[in-house]
Amino acid sequence: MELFLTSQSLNPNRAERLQNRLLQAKRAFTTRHVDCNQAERLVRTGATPKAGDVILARVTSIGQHPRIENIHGRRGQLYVGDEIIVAYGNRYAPDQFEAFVPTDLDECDLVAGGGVASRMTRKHASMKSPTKIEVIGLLARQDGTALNLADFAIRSSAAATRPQTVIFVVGSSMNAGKTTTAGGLVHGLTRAGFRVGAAKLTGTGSGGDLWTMRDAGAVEALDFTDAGHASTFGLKGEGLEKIATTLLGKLAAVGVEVAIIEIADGLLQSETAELVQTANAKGWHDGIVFAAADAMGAAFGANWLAQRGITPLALSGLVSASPLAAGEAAQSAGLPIATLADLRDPIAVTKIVFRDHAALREAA
Amino acid sequence: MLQSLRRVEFIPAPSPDTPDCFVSFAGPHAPTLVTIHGISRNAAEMATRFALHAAFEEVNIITPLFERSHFGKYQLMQTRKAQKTNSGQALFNLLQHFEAQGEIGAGKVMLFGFSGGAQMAHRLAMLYPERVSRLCAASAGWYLLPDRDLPYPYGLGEGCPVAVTDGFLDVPTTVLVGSRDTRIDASVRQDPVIVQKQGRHRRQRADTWVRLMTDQALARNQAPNVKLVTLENVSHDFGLCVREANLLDHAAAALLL
Repeated sequence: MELFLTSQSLNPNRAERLQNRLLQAKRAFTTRHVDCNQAERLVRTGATPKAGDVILARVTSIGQHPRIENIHGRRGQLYVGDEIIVAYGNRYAPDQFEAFVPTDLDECDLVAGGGVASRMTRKHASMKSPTKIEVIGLLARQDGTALNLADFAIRSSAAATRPQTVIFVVGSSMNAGKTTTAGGLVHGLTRAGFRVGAAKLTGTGSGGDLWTMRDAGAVEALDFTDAGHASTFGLKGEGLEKIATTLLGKLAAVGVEVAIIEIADGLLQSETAELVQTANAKGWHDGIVFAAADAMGAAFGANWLAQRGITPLALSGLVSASPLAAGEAAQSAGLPIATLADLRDPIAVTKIVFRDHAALREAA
Repeated sequence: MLQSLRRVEFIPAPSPDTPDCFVSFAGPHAPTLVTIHGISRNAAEMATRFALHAAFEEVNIITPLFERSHFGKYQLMQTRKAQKTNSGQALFNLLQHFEAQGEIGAGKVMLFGFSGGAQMAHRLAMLYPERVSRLCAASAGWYLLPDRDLPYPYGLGEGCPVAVTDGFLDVPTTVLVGSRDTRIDASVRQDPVIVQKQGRHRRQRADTWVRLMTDQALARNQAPNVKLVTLENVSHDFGLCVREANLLDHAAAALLL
């Protein structure tokens, strides 16, 4: 057996000891762009954490999230005592948790498997208690400034632009079928001959949706974590706009011709509502596909959008899987239904995406 | 701040005897280009690529979508059922509709086709030269030969839907084919009459057709109006031909004065 010498010092200093410790830790998806070599010390007391700050933490009890998604997308098992590298962020997930970045470095919760540290305030009745983590310290530079996801974000170009065709996917609620709809659009349009990219502008950091887009054929898939945020709950106008313009600009820069852009949660969620209206006002997209969980959600959503001067290209999502519910939705909303098969079909999907807006408004 | 370039729109068939289509209009005084897809029916992609190419900025782009259910033999401008409208007539109906709507002007149109679309495009130009200003046929599977002893759709003899004049020799025509478009798969027809008269694969057939058209012109003491351009190192894929062999630049050179 050959023995290899490493560059590790026999008497490592504090920064070297920290680097060795970080190498052993389980590093979460949200922190995949962070250059941990910049960390020279841990700040353990006296700091007020901010969203995006990166921490080394220890798992103290296993709850709702028994696994953590690593920087490569693999969901690895967690054990009590594991040291993990995660980022602070808020969470808004009606089917899971509401949580906020704490104001101290005391014990908090792992509120998302993608690696979001926060303090849970409310949870869905079906949820277990969150996995608990003890904060060992903020990863910091020599001067004490914390490493933050924003320090490693994609930079938006000076001349903001966007792909030629941009389609937004918005929905009636969490788990209404938005990601499936977006994946279907990506796949169908890729088969139709286009270079397709995808982005998720809001939500909580997790690789699952990005892998779905990649698997569907997206040449590039980005989300708000690429723009320096572990989650977007609580962000307001300027922050959301910067995420949108940064990600759209990046997709354009890599030659994406058609971009499929997903916005998390439902239209009644405040960031989603704000973003949909801003996007429409600023001409960020060429159309919206509305994913609804059921016919009532479809009718309400179509009406909500119509009140703001927006006519979706089609209704899709869970409601489209049921011919009866889809019929109710189409009749009440006056909009065409796009099933998953339609979205994945290279001819049918182009009829939806390139639909004549004036005719659509007239029909609705 | 964010830019949006020229938009392509899907227009559902305005009547039962017209096809759906993808369009990008530049105005009634702009020239009109009809682009015809192959059997993958990538009409949206084709319309988009032409509409966004700088050379076609001031050109109306109309790309009909000939779906299998209504226009199964669109390449040949034939129908499976006698009472159905063939693809050629359906296209003329569509152009008439857009003229009536004021979206395009009346008169001849430029024609581009790829693969099965090139088959239809060159047949349309040969049968209705008075409707076509210029033709660019890329990677057709096989050709309608200028031979009045061969039955239609192989030649201009028995069964030809119109009495063909020599007007087709006057239509400026460019044939494009990939240098590696020699693969013979299920989509390349191997009817004995086609193989015998035109060759086995698309590149041979393009060579043959251009030679026969040239011979026809010379036999009538006309200067030949047809030329062959070989796209180096590409085979039979529209997207690849666009990206790697500048297909649209060649189309622009062939179609735009």
